[in-house]
Amino acid sequence: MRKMPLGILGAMVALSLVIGVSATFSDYNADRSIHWNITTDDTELIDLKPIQPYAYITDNGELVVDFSPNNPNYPGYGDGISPASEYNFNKVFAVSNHLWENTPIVVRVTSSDTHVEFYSHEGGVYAVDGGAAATASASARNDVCFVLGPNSEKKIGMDLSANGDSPGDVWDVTMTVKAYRLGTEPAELSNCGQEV
Amino acid sequence: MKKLAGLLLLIVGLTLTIGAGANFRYYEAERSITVNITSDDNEFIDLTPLQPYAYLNNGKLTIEISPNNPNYPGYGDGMSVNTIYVFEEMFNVSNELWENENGDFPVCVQISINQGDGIEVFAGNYSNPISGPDTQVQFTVYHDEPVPVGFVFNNTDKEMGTQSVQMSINAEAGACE
Amino acid sequence: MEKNPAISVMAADTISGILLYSTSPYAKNEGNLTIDITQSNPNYLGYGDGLSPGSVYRFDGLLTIENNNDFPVCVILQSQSDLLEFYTDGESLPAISFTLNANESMSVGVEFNATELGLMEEYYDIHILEGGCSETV
Repeated sequence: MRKMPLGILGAMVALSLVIGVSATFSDYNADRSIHWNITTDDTELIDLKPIQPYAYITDNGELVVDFSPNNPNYPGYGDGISPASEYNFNKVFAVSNHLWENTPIVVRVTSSDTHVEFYSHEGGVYAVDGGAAATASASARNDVCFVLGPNSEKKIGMDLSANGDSPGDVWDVTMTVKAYRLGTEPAELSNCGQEV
Repeated sequence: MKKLAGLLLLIVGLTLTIGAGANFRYYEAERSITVNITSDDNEFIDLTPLQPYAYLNNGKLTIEISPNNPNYPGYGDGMSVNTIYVFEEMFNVSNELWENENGDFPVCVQISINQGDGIEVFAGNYSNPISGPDTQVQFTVYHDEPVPVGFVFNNTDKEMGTQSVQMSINAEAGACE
Repeated sequence: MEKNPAISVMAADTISGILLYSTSPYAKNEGNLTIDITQSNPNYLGYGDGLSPGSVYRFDGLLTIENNNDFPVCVILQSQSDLLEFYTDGESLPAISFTLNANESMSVGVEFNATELGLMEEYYDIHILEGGCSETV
């Protein structure tokens, strides 16, 4: 008989004692705990971190992007964008993969309004529709995706295109962020920079 | 005896598999983006009329050399055919981006006008322009250092009547390369 | 030196042969198996402090239940929180049940609905009955 480390032998013995004891199985009830911290967008497993002052973390911990005087970072000038102009802002916020597992993720960022589009100056971000790289104003899209390796981050830029709006208009846009373990993403996200 | 052996295998099996798990599957969140549409002289890249030929129409900078301009003083209804007019400092471009609170944050501004309309644009003054005259110009704007933009109207071979053209302005963070 | 496997042996007197364990770094075993996505988990790496407010997270196979008896059992997992649901192959539910034959195991995923900032300490109930789950379970 091979010698086994004492730890395992001890555990075996403990287990076998338990088995030996019960003659009839009776039903079993127990409570077990699940604890989790709900923390701010810029400290969690999948971070959304503001980079430029147009983005900030609210009191309830969520990232908000706000190009208006309501933003707490408003310095007293620059009230918004004008009715017929297009703006690029590189690196408004960053998305990072801070999962504890050593696993890459596929991230999809979508805006509910095509006036607002996303891109990354550093590359690696792609339009969901068609898979073209979204790296600048002309290639920015409102539905983009990218792969994030473990403990890595992607800086996201925003392209704002006003056309036919009037002063006093406000765009209230919803940004949806979805992330999938690499390999489990839906078929429509097959052109996000995954290595073949 | 069988049970014990079964358990031993079970424990060894468990030890081997510990640490292999990658559990995260899916994440979703919705966040808000708000953009204020404001007039051209209050925005991040201000376009501020300097001369009465330029005004803000529904917040948009408009160059209009005709009696339709609200600034029309009752005389000077336009430009005649076969002339060339140069207007310096029609409007200013200024940089009001919030990033300037943390240090210089220049922008590269591009202004484009369709070719063939007989209009060229330039930045700075006519004798020594920063950029142009051309149908497309590009120049860097720093906070607190507005750049004036002027126009060359070449009315050679034009006919009487109203000419209107579109001017598009792009701004990108960072000085022009 | 052998690391302690992350298993929880039910040493209660009304249970035998059922193992509850996790292979995930988000779990820790200090007597009972606890899923712990906070900085107090010994597996915390110094980043990724938790989940974000107003978000949905899914973790596949976070819990594994194994039946080491020589008879089948019915396992029922019941969440005690609106914010936690379980899933195996499909949609997540506040309570799931499944039959485990002798020496079978099942891995169960957990879906988190995170709302407001703060530390969440919630529970789920494990109920194990001899015999496979009946149709009505």
